[in-house]
Amino acid sequence: MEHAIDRLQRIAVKLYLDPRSAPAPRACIEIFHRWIQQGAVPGLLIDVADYTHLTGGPRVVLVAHEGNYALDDADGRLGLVYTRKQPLDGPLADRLAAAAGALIAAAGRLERDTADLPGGTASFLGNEIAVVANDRLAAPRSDDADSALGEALAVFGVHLFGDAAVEVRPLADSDRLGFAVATSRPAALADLSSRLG
Amino acid sequence: MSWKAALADRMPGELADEIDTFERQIDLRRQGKIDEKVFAETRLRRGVYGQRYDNGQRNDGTGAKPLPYPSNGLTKGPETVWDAPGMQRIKIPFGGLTADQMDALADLAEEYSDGVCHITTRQDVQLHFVHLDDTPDLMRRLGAVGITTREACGNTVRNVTACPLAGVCRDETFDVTPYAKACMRFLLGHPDAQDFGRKFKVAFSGCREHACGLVSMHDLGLVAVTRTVDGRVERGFETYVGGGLGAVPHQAKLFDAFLPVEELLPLAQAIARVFARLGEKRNRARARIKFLVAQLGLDEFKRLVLEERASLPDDARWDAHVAAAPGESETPLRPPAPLDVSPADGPGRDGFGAWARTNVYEQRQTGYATVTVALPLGDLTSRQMRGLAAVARRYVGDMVRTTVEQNIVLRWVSAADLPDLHGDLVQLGLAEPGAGTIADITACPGTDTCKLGIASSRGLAAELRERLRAAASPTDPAVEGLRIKTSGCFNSCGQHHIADLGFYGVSRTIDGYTVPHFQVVLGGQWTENAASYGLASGAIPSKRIPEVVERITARFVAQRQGTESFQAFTRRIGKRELKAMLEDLVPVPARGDEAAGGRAFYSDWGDPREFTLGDMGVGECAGEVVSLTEFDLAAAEAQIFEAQLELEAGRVDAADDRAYRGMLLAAKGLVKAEFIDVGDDPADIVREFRTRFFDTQVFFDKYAGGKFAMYLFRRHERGPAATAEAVRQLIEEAQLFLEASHACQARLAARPAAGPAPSPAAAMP
Repeated sequence: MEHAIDRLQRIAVKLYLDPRSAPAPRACIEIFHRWIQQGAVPGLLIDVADYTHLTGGPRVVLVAHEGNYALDDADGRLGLVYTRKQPLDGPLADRLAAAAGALIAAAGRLERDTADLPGGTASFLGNEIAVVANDRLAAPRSDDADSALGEALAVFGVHLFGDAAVEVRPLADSDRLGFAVATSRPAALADLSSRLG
Repeated sequence: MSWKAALADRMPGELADEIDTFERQIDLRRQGKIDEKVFAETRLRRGVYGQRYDNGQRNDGTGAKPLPYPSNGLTKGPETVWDAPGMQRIKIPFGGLTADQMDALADLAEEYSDGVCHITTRQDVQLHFVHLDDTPDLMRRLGAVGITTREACGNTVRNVTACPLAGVCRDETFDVTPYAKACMRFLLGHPDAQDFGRKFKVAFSGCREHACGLVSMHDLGLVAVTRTVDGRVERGFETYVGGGLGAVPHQAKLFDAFLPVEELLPLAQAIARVFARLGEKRNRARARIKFLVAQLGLDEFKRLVLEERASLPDDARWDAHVAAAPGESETPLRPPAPLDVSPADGPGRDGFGAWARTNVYEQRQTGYATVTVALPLGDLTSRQMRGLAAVARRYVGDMVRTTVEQNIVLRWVSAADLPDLHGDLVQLGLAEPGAGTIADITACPGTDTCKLGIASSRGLAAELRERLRAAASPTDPAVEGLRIKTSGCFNSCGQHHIADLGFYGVSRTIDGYTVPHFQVVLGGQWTENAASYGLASGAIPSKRIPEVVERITARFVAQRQGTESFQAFTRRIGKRELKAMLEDLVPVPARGDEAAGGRAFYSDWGDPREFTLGDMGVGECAGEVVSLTEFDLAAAEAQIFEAQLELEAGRVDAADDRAYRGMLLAAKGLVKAEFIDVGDDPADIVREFRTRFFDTQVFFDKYAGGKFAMYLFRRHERGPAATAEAVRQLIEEAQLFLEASHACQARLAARPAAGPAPSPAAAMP
């Protein structure tokens, strides 16, 4: 029987920056504008929203039609988030893979585009991805939904990291249903990307 | 399951029906069964607003590029693409929020917006980058917590605002909250308030002295007053009409020194009926009620309103809405208790002392305080909004209000709880001190998201805020209390007219490139309900505005006489001197002059793209003629400035003449672009300008059309203005005509030969 979580479309995924190697948020304003010029990441890229004056949330947002990319520290850790807005095709596993694929592509691009920034090269921790169900209707905070999404992410984690020993743990301090999916093995973005196809 | 089904039993039936209807209208428009203009007004009346780039085009710094939305030609209004993200304005009457509502706003920001809630200068909340298709569910989820977006935009009664300290203020005459609430309930959806030519704004204040209500700049402003009759104290309102900021600000006129509270709603209804019947409908630029009052004269307007009032049939809701008001009061969550902490665990630690000094207001009620949560640029993240809701539940319950300074206040905080509350706010990143100080800057969205924005008001505000916070602390007391307000254009959503230091975005063309500037507006009066407006004192390159603030405030500190106010100081120094001290900031280095930081001047704050008002190129054929045009525009600017000085000196006739001559010079400059032999005869200039620029619509602004040209035609045809106030308005109009002339010149410069698009690398100065 289909679970409501199977209809989840609004998916947010986050990769964390290594705290020892993170660009200043302001540097990302110019980078994101350049991404629009160059069509550097997937999607119809529209505009850049500067929230560098805030903490504990999006700091710089690259607004796109299908989903937004944002440098974000909502959970106290700086990283890159892709928040899907438009529906994706296929079963949940495909949709998770598509959202993660867009995120990983953008993260890789950010690493490359910050390579020459003095003191601000981005380096992502490739062994952990946070997945949030950004839809309180399809994925309310309930044991049932929690269990359903957790199971789906366990399968997704194995696929993404190529490791049967992935850990799926609920995100602390999250108002939405969400999990961290992690492996203890180091993982490069390129490897993650190739596994997603 | 849908949100409609999930919330069916939690929404008022009427509101649920309205949203269902709106959803059907969306479907009908999608099928092409509703005209796009009709649909645009329909969605605006539900707070669904357009946003920058929703015409499907954006200049990415290398040139104008299409944004190929998958809309298949479908629009949600004229030149407004269906799939382009927009803004959702959410009315928060008198700024009152409950904790549940704050949670809902946080959820919606996360799911439908970009994770940020924005507080506006009229106590609303705005979410940006929202897709039209999401708005019905968004509205349902708001409806489930008692919020409607109905009439948040469009030609309607907008959010009814009120002083955020109403009910706890030490100086108020009485609590205006219940009356603001009554007015909102009565006018929302009222049949007599549905046929306006433009919007209608209402504000309440508990006193005359303070600025919290900003009554003087509203279409209908109400100040609480009492009178004693036969030993009995009666409540009423000092009632003002016809105020407004916008391009040409008007001070509201006193309509009635004492309007009994029982007459509040009938009078509001009568005013609405007169405005709907006689207000301008076709020319949006003259459609606010301030123009009707000016056109009719206050006495005639008042006569018509009172006549209308007398003819209104009794309505039971008049009394029902206000009858309970005197007895309404808020019940604090926690008992009163004095602040009693040692320095080790309270004041002086973790910034508590500095925060308490500026962000805590001692309420009239002993043992209670109101805390201002200072929000940078009016923004807070969804996590912060949700965290603040939790803080509210812990300390004050639902006693939360937004403010016109884009902050949030928590009322009825037991004073003993202040250190703990401060600690909780620190955890949320919301314990910034400096509320109500010069660093607490108000800014409209400007070019960040507004279609009308010319320059980046938020970018400038962020830069000023950062510099002021980093400046030597504590700031000089003379400067600390000043207000800075920035608007992206002349429309004054950032309320620059009532700031000590106000700025609004304009542009200038330098060597064929458009350079962002801000007009400096000095001497507006924030206190006494925004009692007087400042006047433009010259355009300065955007990147030099921080120096403007530094210079003017430094001079104020150095030369202030006793307790002299900033307004008195600027009057004493004089506009000529103030302009002179900024004159060296006006020149813009050549774009290629790296040593002078030239490139930086050609982009705006917080936006590395080369600045543009559209598709900008380097003019070649028009080069010479443009130079002549610029010469006349500069002369026009000087004339208009002189007009201000004449007005200040009480020489009304001379001020009128200078403002008129300024407009003529600007018009002549433009005419020279096509007809170099135009003479100096005003009739010739106006005729040539009308023929070449107005009739052809070359002068027309994309959004304002030809309204700025009408300022020149009207003055030319009617002759001199008779009163100081009329001349003051003429000067404002002349300034706007000049700005429109600059914009027109920029379009002319770009038109004949667009230069090669700069390389991507070159496009990021």
